[in-house]
Amino acid sequence: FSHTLRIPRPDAKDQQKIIKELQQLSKELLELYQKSEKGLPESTKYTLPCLTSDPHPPNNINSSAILAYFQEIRRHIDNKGVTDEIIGQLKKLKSQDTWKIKVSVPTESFECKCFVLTILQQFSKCMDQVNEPQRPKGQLR
Amino acid sequence: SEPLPLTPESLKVSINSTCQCLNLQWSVHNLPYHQELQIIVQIQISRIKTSNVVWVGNYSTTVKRNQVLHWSWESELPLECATHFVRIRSVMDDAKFPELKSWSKWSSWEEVDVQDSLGHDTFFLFPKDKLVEEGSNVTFCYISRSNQNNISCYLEGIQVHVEQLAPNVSTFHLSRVPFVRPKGTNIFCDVTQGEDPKGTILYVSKVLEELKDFSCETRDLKTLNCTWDPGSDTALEIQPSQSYTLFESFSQKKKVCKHRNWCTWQVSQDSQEMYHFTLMAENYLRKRTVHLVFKLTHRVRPMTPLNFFLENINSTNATMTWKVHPIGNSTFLCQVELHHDGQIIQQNKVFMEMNGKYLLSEMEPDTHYLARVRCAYGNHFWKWSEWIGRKFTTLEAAPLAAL
Repeated sequence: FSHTLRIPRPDAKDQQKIIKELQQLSKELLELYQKSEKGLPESTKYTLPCLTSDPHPPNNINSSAILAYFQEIRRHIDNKGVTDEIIGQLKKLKSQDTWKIKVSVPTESFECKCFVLTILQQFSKCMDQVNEPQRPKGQLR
Repeated sequence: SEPLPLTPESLKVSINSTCQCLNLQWSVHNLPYHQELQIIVQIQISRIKTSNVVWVGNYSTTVKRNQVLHWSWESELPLECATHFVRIRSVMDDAKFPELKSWSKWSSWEEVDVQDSLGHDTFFLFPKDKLVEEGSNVTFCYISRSNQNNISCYLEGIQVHVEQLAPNVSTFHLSRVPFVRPKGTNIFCDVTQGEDPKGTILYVSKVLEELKDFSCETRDLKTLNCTWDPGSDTALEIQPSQSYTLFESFSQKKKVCKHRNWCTWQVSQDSQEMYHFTLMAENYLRKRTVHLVFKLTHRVRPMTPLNFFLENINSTNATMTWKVHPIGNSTFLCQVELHHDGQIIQQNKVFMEMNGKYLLSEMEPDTHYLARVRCAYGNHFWKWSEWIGRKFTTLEAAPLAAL
């Protein structure tokens, strides 16, 4: 007999706070990584599936996909503290019944670094975009 | 007489890409004498074409009939980036045959080319994820199979000077590379506009330092505790921290140490007196060793004394008592001190066995003092133990008899 504990999702106000927090954390982690890995080029080959087709926050954030990416790149990032905070917040946003997606990180060391940098950059841009003041139609750019 | 036919035969050349080494193997068949002969082998290595000799060297060795000889050469250029050619010849160098001093014929050129086995990509950068020590010189090369010509390469984001080696091969050279980070130094080349750069990581390890302050001591003649100054940690993403191993020559025993700067060693029951330790530090690139020879009983540092008490305290005197952890049936030399206002006002040494006792006298009434003691091994002084002590106050002076 197994009983899955259903963690209640935060209410709208808390979700907004989490999304704001994620914006800050994503910026901080990107800066830390860029500082620690100087001269690393961004890659055009990889895309973080950051947004869903649902225009309404917070469902517009594909938190389960982002979570899967962060759980994979965690071991390649020295700054575990900020990374774990992001993972923690994403877990709060994530709805229970989403499938866990499979993320494959490049095994080749230079490629792997570029992949991590790209994911962090795209996540930071995405959080900026999501936190932009709502447009009249609530459409994201 | 006819020169001895020492022409090397069945020369085979293989590549070890990681160490950028050409491994040679050959033999000399028709040696008429069933003995071991001293010969000199001359090796010529060319690059791109046989006429472009990049290295010549001699190798002295002994050889027996049909013996297979081995020799290795490390290339500064990654071997993937150019075809290499090797040929060898040899000459007798044996006092038994002073007259036979002419070189054999050269073997035929052996060609080594790995570019065909590289796969179908259009661009390759070598070496891949190489591990070197800080201060090394490293030559990089790239092979570009499509005719892009304005390829630019970067070290940590700063463009480097590239030189052409062959129509589709270019090189760049890094001198005295510094340690940058455990995750390695970033090197990449922009090949095609709009496409991802191609890159690799150069793992630069700090140099494994000489081991300093290697010392061992025991507190109980049962366990030796060895300590040393390890210097900087040479760990990288692809190289664990250096390992430390203790080896004791007399017992031929060895122990891999768990800590970076200390290790314990169980004193053997067969009352071994002399110890010759070799401490070896090792990482993927280097080994360091340091030696220490000592007599066990010359390295005894007693544990801190215990049961320290102050008895019969009056206005001018007090008695200190304490115990020491026994070590065999040794005596102990103990040093006692009396402090007042941070100044040592009395200091003395006493010999004792298990139980210590000392009379403090000529103190001032109603005054604060600190009394402490430490001990050393009586048979042979090595180091003092730590101190143990107490603060106390002498009693007020007894009132003089009524006048």
